[in-house]
Amino acid sequence: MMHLDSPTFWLAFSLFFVLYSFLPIGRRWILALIASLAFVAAHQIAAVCDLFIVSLVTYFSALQIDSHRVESAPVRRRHLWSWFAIVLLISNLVVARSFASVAFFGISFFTFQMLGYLIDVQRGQCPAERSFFNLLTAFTSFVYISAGPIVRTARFQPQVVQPSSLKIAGARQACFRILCGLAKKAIGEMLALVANTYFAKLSSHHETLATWTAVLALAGQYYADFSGYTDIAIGIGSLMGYELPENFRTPYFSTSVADYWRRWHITLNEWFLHYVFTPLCLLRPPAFFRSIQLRVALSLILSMTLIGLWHGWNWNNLIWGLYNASLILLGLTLRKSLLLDRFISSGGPLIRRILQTGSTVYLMILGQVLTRADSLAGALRIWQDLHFSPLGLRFGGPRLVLFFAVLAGLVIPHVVDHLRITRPALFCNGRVLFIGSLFLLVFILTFSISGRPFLYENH
Amino acid sequence: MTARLEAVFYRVFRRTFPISRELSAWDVPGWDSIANIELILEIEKEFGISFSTQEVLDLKCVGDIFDLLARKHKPE
Repeated sequence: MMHLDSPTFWLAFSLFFVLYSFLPIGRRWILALIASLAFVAAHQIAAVCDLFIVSLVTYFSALQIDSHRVESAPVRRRHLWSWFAIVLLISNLVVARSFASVAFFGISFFTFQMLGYLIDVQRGQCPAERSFFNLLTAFTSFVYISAGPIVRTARFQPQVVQPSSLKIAGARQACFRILCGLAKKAIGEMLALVANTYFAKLSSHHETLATWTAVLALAGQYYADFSGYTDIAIGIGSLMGYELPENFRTPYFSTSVADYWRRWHITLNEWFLHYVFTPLCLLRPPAFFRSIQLRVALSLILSMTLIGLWHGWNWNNLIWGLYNASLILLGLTLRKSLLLDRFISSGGPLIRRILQTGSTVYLMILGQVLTRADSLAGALRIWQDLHFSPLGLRFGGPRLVLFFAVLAGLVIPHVVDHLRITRPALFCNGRVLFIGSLFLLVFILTFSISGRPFLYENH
Repeated sequence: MTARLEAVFYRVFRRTFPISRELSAWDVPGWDSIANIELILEIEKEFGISFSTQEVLDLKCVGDIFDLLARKHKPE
């Protein structure tokens, strides 16, 4: 398997990049398409066939939707084409997610990109692409097909056809971003060792410190793995002349659950905001649904449930989606009653921030247990062990060292990302990039356990 | 129209603040995507009009809301 952190991938990418750089800018998409199809085929030949078929359906449907936009054409025909393609794409995704034997590589990502494209064409936000192969290049790009970010085709398509040329400064920053991603992947793998050991033995209780160590390791693993992949994708994209959207903005520094969902997997949440939540809220409801709060609450519950199911087609993720929706609604109600604001405002700004971020991270960590535990009973047992374990709380030298090492694995990637966002000039400084790259390279070569898939590649 | 809009803002944010064309979600704590949709639905109810998804997603500041209202709302 060819993952973005494997030596095989980087060898293939180096050869690809040399060829890509020598091609005229207007022809680079051809090589990018060939490389992307080869990348998907290296994972799963069947996925290439599925990708090709659904891309063809999307391409023709979008052309039909566009051709029925003229005033003389019946509106119903346009809607019919939209619904035909949307139902087919969703059926393809649901069947693939329901049966492991047909779980196509990258299906959740390319399906959502295609759905977004069709709805944008239907809404008149972008014209239907006339070249099938240009569209296929945007749908299949190896940079993001396996784990996002989910790009808006209308914005990304022009970059595929006419990528920008690479400057030295841009290349340095791109390489540093890639190294940051690889280092995060290595951290994620180390944290996974701690989390996996714990979650493999869920049939009995664990003591409190070990449980906190494991759930913090899980939280750190999720962030390091997924944001690490995004860093690599954005870095490779920059080298190829693409500007990919950011997918994370230090989510564990959020001040509320709603804020967390604006900072975690940003492109997925924006997708749901554009194509599910907002249209649902704006539906003309029957009389008993006229209450605005009820309409917003139901739309939010449905959107968060679907986000949960997107992460995994099982009960755990469905409950996790509902858990997040409930917390967001609770936060809204408390904010409306001003109770929470009054309580938090009673301290200074620092106390307020610590309380807000601390409670958000605490609730999100409890939620992540739902996605990792083998059953609801297992998750409830972990929640109990986090607070009142029957085995109590045992402090010992090695246990405390492991706890703080895990905490560092959770916090350090966040601090680096926080600096990148708040002090961008620092990450343009040649000396900082050089010393930082050297350090990251040594770290990756020492600690990397390459060749394991990224978590979101399972989607 | 501004007074009615200020009343709508109060219903959503539970506090008063001066409404200007330049005011945007960045200037008001708590004006997130959920508060935004509540605001839109309250405006629809107050002025008896309806917005499309695209119109809602294209809104950038209060000035855009004024422009949409001027286009859609015909005072009796």
